[in-house]
Amino acid sequence: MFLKNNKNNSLFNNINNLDYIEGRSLFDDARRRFLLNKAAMISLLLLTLIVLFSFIGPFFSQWTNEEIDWNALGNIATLGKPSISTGHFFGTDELGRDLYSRVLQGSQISLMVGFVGALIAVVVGTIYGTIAGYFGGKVDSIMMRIVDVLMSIPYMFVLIILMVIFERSVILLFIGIGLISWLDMARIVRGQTLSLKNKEFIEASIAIGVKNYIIIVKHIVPNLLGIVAVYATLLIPGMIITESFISFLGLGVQEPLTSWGALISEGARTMQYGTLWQLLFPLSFFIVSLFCFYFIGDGLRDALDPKDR
Amino acid sequence: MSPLLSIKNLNVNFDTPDGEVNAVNNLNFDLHKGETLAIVGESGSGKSQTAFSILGLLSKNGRSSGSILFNNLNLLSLNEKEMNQVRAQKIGIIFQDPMTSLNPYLRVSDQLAEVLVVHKNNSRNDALNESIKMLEAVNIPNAKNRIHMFPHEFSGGQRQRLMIAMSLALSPKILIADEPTTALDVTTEAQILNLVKDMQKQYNSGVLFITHDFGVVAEIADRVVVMHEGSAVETGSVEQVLNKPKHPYTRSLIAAVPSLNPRKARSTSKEKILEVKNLSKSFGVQNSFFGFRKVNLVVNAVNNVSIELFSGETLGIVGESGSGKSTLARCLIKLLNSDSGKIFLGDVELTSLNRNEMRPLRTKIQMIFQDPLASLNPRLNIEQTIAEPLKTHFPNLSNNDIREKVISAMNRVGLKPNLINRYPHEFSGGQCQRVGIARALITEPKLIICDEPVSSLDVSIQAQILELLDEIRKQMKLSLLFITHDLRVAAQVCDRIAVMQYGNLLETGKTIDVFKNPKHDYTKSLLSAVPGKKWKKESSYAF
Repeated sequence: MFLKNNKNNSLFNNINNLDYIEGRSLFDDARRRFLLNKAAMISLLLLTLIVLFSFIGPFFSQWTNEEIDWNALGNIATLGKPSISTGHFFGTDELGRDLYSRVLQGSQISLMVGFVGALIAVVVGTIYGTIAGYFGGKVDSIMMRIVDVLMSIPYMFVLIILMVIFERSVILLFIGIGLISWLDMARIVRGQTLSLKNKEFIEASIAIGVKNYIIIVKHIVPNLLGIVAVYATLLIPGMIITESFISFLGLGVQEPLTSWGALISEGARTMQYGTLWQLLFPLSFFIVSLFCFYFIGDGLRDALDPKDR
Repeated sequence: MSPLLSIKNLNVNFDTPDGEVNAVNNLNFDLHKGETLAIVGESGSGKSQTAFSILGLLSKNGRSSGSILFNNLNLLSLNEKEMNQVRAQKIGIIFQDPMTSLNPYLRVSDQLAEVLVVHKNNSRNDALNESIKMLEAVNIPNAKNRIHMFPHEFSGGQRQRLMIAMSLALSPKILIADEPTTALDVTTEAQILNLVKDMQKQYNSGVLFITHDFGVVAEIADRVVVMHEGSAVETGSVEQVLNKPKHPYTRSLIAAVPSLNPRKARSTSKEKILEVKNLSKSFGVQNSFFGFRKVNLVVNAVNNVSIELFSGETLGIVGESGSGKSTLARCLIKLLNSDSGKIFLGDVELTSLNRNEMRPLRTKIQMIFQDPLASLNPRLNIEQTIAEPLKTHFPNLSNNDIREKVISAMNRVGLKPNLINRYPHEFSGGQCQRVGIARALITEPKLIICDEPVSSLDVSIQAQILELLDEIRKQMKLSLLFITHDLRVAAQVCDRIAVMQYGNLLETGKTIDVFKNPKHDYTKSLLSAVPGKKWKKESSYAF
């Protein structure tokens, strides 16, 4: 969303060689404010490192996430300890699998759940909400009542039943989280659209004769992006927590796949047997990432809407 | 006699992210007992910040230095608690928007009586009785019953009366009025100004009246301080400043105030460009359940209005808020669908057209809006904004052609073409309005509907925009439908005037006829309410 609008540069600038004064768009302003926000920038850096690490990290591991270290298996508490020499940087889990590889694998899955959920929310929620808000009247009433009905279904319950009836799979998890994630977004976007569509610049566009879909794409959506971006960054950790909760219950992703929630659940089960690292490594990744997301979300909010602080 | 309030070397500075900003610079003036001192200036002149520093109400990043002497007490040296005593008992204030100063969740009786109970130690009952007397004093009808109502149940003018009653409750020595009538209609404004005058006489207090409107100054002030960019450029009696201004800035400001004497009517052609027959539009206050609607209350915003507009003519639509003039404009340009009646643009009837059929006609009829900044999309730069009509109606134009046309439109409205990449928030209000005008002109329309195009602009900018509109009208042979609440502007701009009230068209006629011989009583009361009508000012710019 911080991409600059390159349209101007691509236009031919050969009309009587004017010294065009560079404009400073609202997004330019927001980017400047965001870059000045130390907490958000540190969080962005940390999060980038975590994402990169979860994809590059496997190249440095000495064990795959499926191999079982038969040496350590009988005596995890002493031989499965985190150590460079055995190649288990984060130790092993209860079954003697390398925790380093498992945490990386879990990070990939959890982050993916978060991003996919947020992506669905942004795309579906924004389109749905703008259409409902912009056209108003009966369209709005019917569309928003559908949202209300979907919201009133206890989704966690339904998701758990789905998981039990069908096989537990990542795809089903994505579908389940995707189905619910866009509802709040649609409501927020609709509200914003309602207040935007009575602004004079929208009236001006209608008076000019601009087509509806162009008004939505060119005038409404760009003015919504700020709030959508903020809400999406705050939505990602929510998605991750939801997935972790389901996995913690033992229903989420299935072996051999894993996630932060599943790892924390396993680690918590063996807490009192002296293998605390099994809990601490996935947990610290989990907590640091969530903190980062929230700080970035706060930073974005401050940057995009300085008056709302 | 020593002055009531004496301001010496007042400086107000603000710390902003872009460095220190000087809002008031070395200001000196005295306010005497029984006197009304007007502080006049355009936006950004520091007039409101002066009032705020007297009351110690500057925002957190503001600092004031110098001295403000009141009863030999320097108000700038007081702490918050001492200041509170002064604020409540010695200095009253009225703001522009009374709703922001009244608590919407408390009954008026509670808010008014509270002041008396706290500061005068009255009993609850005495306080209530006195509050009722105060409401009667500010001419609120049926005060005894209405005092138990909530602020939103009063009209704008009545709310301002409530504020006056509240600020005068403790009979302060000084009343500071910060643009108290700017948000009000002209007839209400006249009543409030009279009320302030009466109250001043009754309490013999000093009034510091802050305004941007020279008409109001002429109406109410004894002495005037003219402020410009934080400094007082001229101080003097009202006759001297209004009629023989010394400072060039004062002269230019006064020259920019439109005269109430209508300009000479032009001869116009007989070719009808727009004809409206019996147009009506009503709004229902609706209950909705699953999109099935039940109309409960109907407001006739436009009621059986017929007007015609000739080629090259400027027709003014004049009325107070709620008169339906903006609704009429929005029906004409089909932002709203009218309920009944016909609109002919040239030979084409508009009311029966749907959105797609209307689209090609929109090149001929365009609109300029009231709020210059709000009428531009903040995310689009100036070129994208001005080019929008071209991209909509002439999708085959090359980027080069579009840019050429945008630049020529910008030249026409007096914007430097190298500003093309800038965004609306980087412009002043006047410049934004020029962008709005350029956007309306770019398809070379025949008719432009101007909905209060200058009412949110400073008086000198207002004069520039009006001159620009007239120049363009001549060059492009445009007809203008000019909606305004300001009779001074109407007198200078319009060939003919239509007066509206509560959705009804009361009278139409040549501007000069309507001004000299108004037929309808409402027109008469409108004309007699214009502030400063006794101030005979010669028109310095005429169209």
